[in-house]
Amino acid sequence: MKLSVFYFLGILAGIGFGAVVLMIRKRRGCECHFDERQEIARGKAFKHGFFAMLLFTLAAMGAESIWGDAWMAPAFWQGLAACGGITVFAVSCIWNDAYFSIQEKPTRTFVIVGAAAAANLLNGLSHIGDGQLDMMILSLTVSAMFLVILGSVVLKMIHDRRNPQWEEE
Amino acid sequence: MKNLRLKSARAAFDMSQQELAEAVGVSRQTINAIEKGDYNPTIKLCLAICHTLGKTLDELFWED
Repeated sequence: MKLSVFYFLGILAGIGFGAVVLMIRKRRGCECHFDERQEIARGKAFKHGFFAMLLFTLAAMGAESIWGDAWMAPAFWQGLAACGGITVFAVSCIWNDAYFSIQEKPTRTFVIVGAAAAANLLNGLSHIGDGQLDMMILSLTVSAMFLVILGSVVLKMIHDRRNPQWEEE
Repeated sequence: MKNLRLKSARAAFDMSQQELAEAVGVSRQTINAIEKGDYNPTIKLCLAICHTLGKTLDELFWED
């Protein structure tokens, strides 16, 4: 598959956007400080994410050996495995109250994750008729990952609101 | 096992979980987990809580 110059420009734009977000966070003094319980929970979540990624990779290798790679580019499977691992990590963090750092406000995350999900969804939908699951359609997977993360944050907030576990009984 | 002594010491100071969490530099959920007995804090955090509430380690964390 020959990739156009716009593909690489898109990658550069994504990296640039990430750099700008990091610079803003640094300037505002958000150092993403997690407390000791959160660090342990994030460590466990990382372990879950890592093993999920391994499982996705094994599944990819199995699928490729059975059906071949005519309909699915190897890069798609690699991307799928990475997204799967990140999703498991994020969801595990969210449900253990370790996704947001101590001073972090969820609102900014909603905006950034929502925008990333929407941009990837649009890009993925525009390439959906190409016939092979390849790098371009990987955007749909990335979009699904962001939507699952967003959905998990919303579900956790609803869950916490319905079960106010912190209340001073 | 629930840490009711921590809870009552905090209540005696008229502090919410959020206020205690901010005072010792952790999240509100972490204070909640300690009070519920779901998380064993490090000695560093135990000391920070004791200093904030004016109690000793024995008074808040020692189990007979």
